[in-house]
Amino acid sequence: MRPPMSKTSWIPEPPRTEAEVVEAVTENARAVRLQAVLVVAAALLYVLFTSPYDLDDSFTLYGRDNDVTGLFERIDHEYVDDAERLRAHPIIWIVGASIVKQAFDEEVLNQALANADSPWRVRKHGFARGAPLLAAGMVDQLPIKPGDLVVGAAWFSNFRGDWLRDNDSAEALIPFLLSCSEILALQDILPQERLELCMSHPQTFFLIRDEWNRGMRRRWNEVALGYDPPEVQQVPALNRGTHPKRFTREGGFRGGGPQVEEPLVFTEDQVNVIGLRRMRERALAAGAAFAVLELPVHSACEAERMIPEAVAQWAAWSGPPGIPFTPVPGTWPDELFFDYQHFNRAGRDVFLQWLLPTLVQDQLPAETPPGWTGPALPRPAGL
Amino acid sequence: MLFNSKVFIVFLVLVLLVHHLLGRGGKANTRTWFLLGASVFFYGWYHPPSVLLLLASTVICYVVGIKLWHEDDPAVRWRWAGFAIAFELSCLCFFKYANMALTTVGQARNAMAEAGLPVSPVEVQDLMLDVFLPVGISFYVFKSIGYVVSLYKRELPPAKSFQSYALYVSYFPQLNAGPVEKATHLLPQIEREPYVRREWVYEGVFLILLGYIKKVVIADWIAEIIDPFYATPIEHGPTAVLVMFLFTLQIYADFSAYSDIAIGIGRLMGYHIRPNFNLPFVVPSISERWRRWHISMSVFFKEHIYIPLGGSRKGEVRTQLNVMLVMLFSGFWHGASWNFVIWGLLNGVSMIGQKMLRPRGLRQLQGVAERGGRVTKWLYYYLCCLVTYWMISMINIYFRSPNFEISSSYVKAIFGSGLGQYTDMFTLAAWQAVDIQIYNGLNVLFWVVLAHEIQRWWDVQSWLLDPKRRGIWAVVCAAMLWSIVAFGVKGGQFIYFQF
Repeated sequence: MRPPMSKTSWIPEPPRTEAEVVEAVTENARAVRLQAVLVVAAALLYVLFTSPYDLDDSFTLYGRDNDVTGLFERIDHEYVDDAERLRAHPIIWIVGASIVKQAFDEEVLNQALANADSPWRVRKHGFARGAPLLAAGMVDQLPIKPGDLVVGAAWFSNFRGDWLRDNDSAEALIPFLLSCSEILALQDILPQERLELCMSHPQTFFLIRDEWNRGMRRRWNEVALGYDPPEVQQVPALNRGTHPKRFTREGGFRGGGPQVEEPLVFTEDQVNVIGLRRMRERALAAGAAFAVLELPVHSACEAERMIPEAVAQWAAWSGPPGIPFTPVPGTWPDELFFDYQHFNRAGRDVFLQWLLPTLVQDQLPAETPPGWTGPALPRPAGL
Repeated sequence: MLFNSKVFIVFLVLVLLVHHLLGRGGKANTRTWFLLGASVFFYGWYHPPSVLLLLASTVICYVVGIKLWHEDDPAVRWRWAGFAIAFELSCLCFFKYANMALTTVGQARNAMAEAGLPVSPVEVQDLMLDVFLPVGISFYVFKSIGYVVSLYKRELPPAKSFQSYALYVSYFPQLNAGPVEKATHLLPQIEREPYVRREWVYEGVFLILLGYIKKVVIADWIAEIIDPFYATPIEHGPTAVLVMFLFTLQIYADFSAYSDIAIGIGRLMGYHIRPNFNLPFVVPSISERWRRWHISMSVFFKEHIYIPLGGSRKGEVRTQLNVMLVMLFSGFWHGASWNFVIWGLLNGVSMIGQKMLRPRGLRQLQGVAERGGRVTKWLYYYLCCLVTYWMISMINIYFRSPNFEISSSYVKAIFGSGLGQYTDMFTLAAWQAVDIQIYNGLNVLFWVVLAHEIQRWWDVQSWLLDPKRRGIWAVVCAAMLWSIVAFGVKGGQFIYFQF
């Protein structure tokens, strides 16, 4: 005899009445119609929402030649309002990577130049990540006029043989700043990677996301840490303090990986050599002069990174008749650095104090001839 | 097929369309066959041969179920049930644990050879079998075992048809990562007439979008931030602490996202899958967390391991031993790695520790808090939540780390190898040296905790699904869709797929 069902057994639903069945069928039909409406609505919303995000969408491409030009629309807009002021003065265009971004304060420089009745004005375009290869793309987009001065910057690790592979974010930035023909000319990466970079579109929604987070992050950190992190866009990375941990923790800061193991390459086909030459060509083509600054570095960097062979190689390459090259003289105190190669806030202030008299005294010639290598900078006082 | 892939969205829309067309005339049988076919297609998308194992498991348990129902002899019934359970467990062990066992044997043999014992060393890689781990095997094996045990206990009659039972096992929304729905609950729904109500549609759509938000906006983004920190051993204490906090958020968002999507899809088809999470993120104790986390698995372990072992009926020591065994089994079930065994062990130790080793000072603190009024009670509650979150995050290091070396580096970085390093955790400079992206992740953690706590007092979901608030529902759903689109569905795999 079969044992009875256990006490915890499943109890089937009671049979439904006829009215309940009819109601269920009607309700089911309505629910299915509702699902169909929602699917269509979701599809329409999806199309609407995605339109502004991809750079190959019609909303984004409207009125533009191609997707790359869209990226520079913001620059164009910024300079439309400014065009008159830019025409009124010779401009020093400081373009480069984070070392440039960190070392110069455009507002302070312009104020000092204006106070001294100097005709010169400064415009800085510093990337969070970048190097001459990418800065060259930016120079192409700037409204440079005859008589301006374009100042670039470079430092040793830019000339690693494997710079593109070592610098994670470079590949993400390349489609923003180089044309397809320039990308295809890069020999450091595989042909299929070059094609991918040509075809890939920057992900605009990441920019929106980052902006949102930046606002949230600041509020959070102000409350939780009492620490206001650097604002990358509004005040470009000017507020960094000195972080001793950065020097003791391997890989603790960006660009801090092993550098000396990889040989430096100053040949014509190194990507940042190409970048510097392009910057120079573009500046000269616009009738402007061009100079490259080598900014001071932390003593640990001097000791650990700048091996004599590399220094000799650098000096041989950067001197005439190569890229016009202006080293900032002297060994600067370590407390002026945020990490190996970036000034901290105090470092930037000292640097500008040193630089300003030179600029204010109008040592820069009003008509800079092609090939001019920049002002003869004095040694910083007390260094 | 991943829920967060474009092909799945197309698949889902087509399945819903055909499902409802077939359901028009109340043809439950046709609809069941169709859904079974769709589920098999879904499952075989990546690795078609895996379907054969699923089929074998289904056929065996279905046949055994019929035998169990018609057989009266207890000994014969025991043999049938034992056969089905042994088959299921051996499949699980072979596909999931064979390589772990062989690796362990190889390593032990090499260690013995190094110690000078008369055994020859072996190349561990050579021992390993070239087997594919079928996705979701742990989940459908548990469902099959649950069905057989329910029939053995005569808790329910066998499935009315093979296709009903096969659909119960392979129902695609919950096939790859649960919830492990009980046959007593889901099978009757499959066997009844097709039926959907509008309120279920509203709820289903909301849950699906909520799941995608959790996966795309939270889990995938947190993964982007913290994954690099689990690739190599870590040295920096503050970074290790914050990364482990963020992983606890990631796994909650990732896993509950899958469950929400599965439940939501079920609602659109007229099936009620029970919730797998009940606000488990901010909890005052580890045992409370396990009551609210992955409920379907916890119930399975409770019914099929804890209670058969004696549960809490055989004294305090035996009860705690049973808890430890269940947690060890849970760890072992999660993955074929000793890291997961340690994870289960630490969960068990924490649960027992929180219950048995309540220090006197803590009891006094609790007493003071309870006497002090609402504010002190509230403070004490959140202090417990904070400590529990810390413990869960510490334990989860073993869940996330790919190997011992990395998990050990986290423990060492957090607790310090010496007093000097440990005190470094209390300097502002050390915390400022943490990658800023991790602080961005903490913003999300803050908002998730806030949303979680609001829900404790105010059932937002029920409020939103009130028929009077359809307009607000539409705006919220549109906003959620926008967020999903803005962050982009990148198709990162769900964490629990590997189990």
